[in-house]
Amino acid sequence: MAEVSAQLDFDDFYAANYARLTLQLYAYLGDQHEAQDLVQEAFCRAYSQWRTVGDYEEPLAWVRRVAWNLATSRFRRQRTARNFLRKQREEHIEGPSPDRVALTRALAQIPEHHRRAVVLYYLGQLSVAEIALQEGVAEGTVKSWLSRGRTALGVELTGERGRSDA
Amino acid sequence: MPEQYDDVIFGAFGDFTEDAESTITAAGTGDVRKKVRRRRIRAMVAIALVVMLVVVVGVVLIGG
Repeated sequence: MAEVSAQLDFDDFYAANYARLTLQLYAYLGDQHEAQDLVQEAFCRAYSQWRTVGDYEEPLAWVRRVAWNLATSRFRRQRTARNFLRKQREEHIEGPSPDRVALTRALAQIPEHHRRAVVLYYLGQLSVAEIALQEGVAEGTVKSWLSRGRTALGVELTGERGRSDA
Repeated sequence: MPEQYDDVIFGAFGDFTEDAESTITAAGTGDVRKKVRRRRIRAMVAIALVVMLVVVVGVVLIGG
């Protein structure tokens, strides 16, 4: 009986959070399928120890941290290969909308830490304290990342860099 | 003043969410359960093989 209710809890938890987490990783990585795979993997790890994770005060924070850690290591490992492949092949698939492309392209231009902070703050709606906890850094560091990331992203999105360079 | 970009950034993330949300397809908890079960079985098989190997090596060493 306890097993059944634990499984139901996990189903609800998964349904409530899967899309939200995937969106965050999608914005961070710029690759939707990769984001879906990583979030699914994070949920697999949560499920394999759900009796412990499910009892945490905030199981979502645990899954989010696992998903972001997976994304960071995957991002670092595959960055070089992905850039190379992107340059080599022509893709003929129906692309995402210009808005989505504009944001992911702008995010790709800003440093990794700043990007993580910006995505977690604006998309994940985490507070500075929560981001600091997840990243294992001081709140001041997060504020600095956010400030720089916000400026860099704002400049990219408004096209001010092109104007100031000209 | 980086705060001046807040509206632009919130707007961009809002559009992104609206546009991308409908394209995200969850594999579902059935897939999660299947994967976890498969991993557990694989781990158990690996442990059993190691135990068998240790036993075989032990028997051979003692017998030899």
